Amino acid sequence: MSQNSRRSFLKTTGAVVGGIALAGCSGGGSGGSETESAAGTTVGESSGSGGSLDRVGMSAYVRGGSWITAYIEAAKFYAEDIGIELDVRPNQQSAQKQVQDIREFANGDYDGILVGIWSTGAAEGAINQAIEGGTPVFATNADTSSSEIPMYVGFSNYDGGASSGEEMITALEEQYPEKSTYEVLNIRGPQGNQSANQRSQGFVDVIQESDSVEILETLNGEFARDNAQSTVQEWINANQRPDGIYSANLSMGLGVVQALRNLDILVPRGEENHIVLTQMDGSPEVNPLVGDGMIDAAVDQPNYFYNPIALEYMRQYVENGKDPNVIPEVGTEITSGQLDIPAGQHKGVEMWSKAIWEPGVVREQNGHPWFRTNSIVITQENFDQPFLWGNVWG
Amino acid sequence: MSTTESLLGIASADRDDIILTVLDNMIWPILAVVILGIFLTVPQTFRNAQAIRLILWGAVPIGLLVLAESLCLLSGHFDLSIGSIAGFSAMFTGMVLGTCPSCWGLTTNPWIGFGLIFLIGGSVGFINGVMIGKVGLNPFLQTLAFLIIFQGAKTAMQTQPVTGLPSTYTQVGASPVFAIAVFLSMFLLLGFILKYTTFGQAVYALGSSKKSAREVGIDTERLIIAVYTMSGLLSALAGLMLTGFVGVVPPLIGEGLVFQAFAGAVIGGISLFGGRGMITGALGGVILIQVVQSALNNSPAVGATQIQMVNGIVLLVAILLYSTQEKIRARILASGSV
Repeated sequence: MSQNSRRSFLKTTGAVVGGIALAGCSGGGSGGSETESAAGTTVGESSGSGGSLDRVGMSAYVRGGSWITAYIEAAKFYAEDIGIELDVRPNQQSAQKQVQDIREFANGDYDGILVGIWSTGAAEGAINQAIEGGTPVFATNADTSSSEIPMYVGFSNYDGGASSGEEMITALEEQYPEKSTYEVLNIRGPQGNQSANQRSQGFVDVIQESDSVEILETLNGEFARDNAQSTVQEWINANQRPDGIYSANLSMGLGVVQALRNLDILVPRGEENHIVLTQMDGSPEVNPLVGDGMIDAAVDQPNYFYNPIALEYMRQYVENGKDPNVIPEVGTEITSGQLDIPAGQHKGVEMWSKAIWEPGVVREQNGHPWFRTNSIVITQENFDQPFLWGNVWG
Repeated sequence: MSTTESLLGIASADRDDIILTVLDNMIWPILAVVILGIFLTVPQTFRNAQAIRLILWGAVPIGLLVLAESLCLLSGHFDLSIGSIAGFSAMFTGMVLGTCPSCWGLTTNPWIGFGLIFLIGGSVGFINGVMIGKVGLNPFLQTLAFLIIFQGAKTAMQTQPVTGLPSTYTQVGASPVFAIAVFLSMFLLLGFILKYTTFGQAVYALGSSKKSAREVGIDTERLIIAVYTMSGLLSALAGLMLTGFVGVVPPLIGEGLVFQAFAGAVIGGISLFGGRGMITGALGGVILIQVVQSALNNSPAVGATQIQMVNGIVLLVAILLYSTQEKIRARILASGSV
């Protein structure tokens, strides 16, 4: 049975069971669900005692580049594949707009809500109200402070920064084996921004543990290409050429590359005077630069998996009568053998065919489960692979 | 009146003239003091000629927006949409010229690109002018609406970086020497126009009193349209320079720049109430902002998380200085010796 027809069948079954339950004819049991609860179970097969997930509202940031486009479009593709109507509303960079949208979703004919939180604490009340009213809310990419949500799906900014730090140390030792100490720059995002703080801190902590690498300076690139470019080129010219530079997002990473190009000191890895560059995020522009050896490593997120993973768990959750046991327990490690995200043909590739998110680890954050996906390091060995979102969304 | 009293009166008038001149050009001594302070505390900021070139290059896009805003402020108006015009015109033109998969890619002729970006910027500015000058809309509301509309239109067109632009098109902003030359030329040109032409005098007259300007025969409606059209053209030029600076059209291009443009103009002595200020002062304001920013970035004593706060303090100090300047000016003018 094809994925779509299987989903349709399951949805119909769920709806019938739900209808019977509403008519008071159900025994009130779990209704023969094939999904076992918690760890080590296969998510993707269910006919629970709850309703069906037909219509989902999604509130997210929709601007800012190809990264977010991939994140949103993948949600649309996956929802379409499994027969869910997905209504995406832009938060317009406003916590207030996001709160309003969540309230409207909860008040409307929606079976669930996906949110990419714009401002961590601001939407908590609206999310809690939606959940109290019977509409489950799952967060992806950026977490909410609400402890009531069944699950948040996203990678760890801190771990990503730390991974970038580890890549930096390895690349420095490969590039300059004769040196015993190295000096690097840390280009961070805006102060007060949670992701920016975590990405910087992860990097700083790893570097501080190293005896051989020292952070010369932390510069604020505001997560923007032009700011990072002008700040880095002015700093290097005024001070000294560092051995390496870490950039906490893709825009700043590209700004750093341009800054080095402007200063005429951009050379590929392995060549004399190469400045080691590591950064967060790949992209259609970053990946070829990794291939050319200009950027040594980019720690990428499986962003096109976030919403499909959340939708899978949400579907299970709703079809099983909002049973919290379908959500894996904190401490569980999940692999593709336990969570099936079926591949689909989109944008000329078999999307989701390689589970780059695995292993996922369920942690607790803000009082709710956090499905922490793995990250993937883009290097010269894999920069052109179709499982990197930057090679699909160009 | 005795000869002595007469001489004392002339001397007093001369002294007041000098004070007023100093007050009108206050940005330059401030800039000199700041640069001296930076030389002493963060000398690496001016390590070599390249450092100065990089600071000025970074100042080009925001400097052109300061120029656009200053023109509007001098005429007694203001424009919140300059950043959006810069971003929209750059994005639209980028979509036409770019070769990225999601670009329109209608042509790769850079000269069409140059024409198009100015056509868009000028047209949006012209519409701003018509709505404010002819229709009589409040400048705040009109330009706020355009800020939102064109920021939204930019997103509707494209949410990814626009790449594959013709090198001639990007070279204008990518070549530091050329970009700085354009930037300084525009300040000189506009400074000359405002100081030595009837158009410039009319702008100051309009900014001082719209009613009086009308009474002396100035066609204020046409003048407002001209001012906003010029502001739109300068914003488009800023968009072109920003595109060259980063080499692509980033999706958030031009956003958040309007407040920096206001800050640059105010620090440079352009009055928020119109009719007072000098374009050369605005140039000083831009340079001051950029130099302070560069010094803060280079200073090991100021952390990355403290820079924004320090920038705010610099702005506040500038506002306090100009507030004091206004009081001194009012006192001198009230004394009647000038």
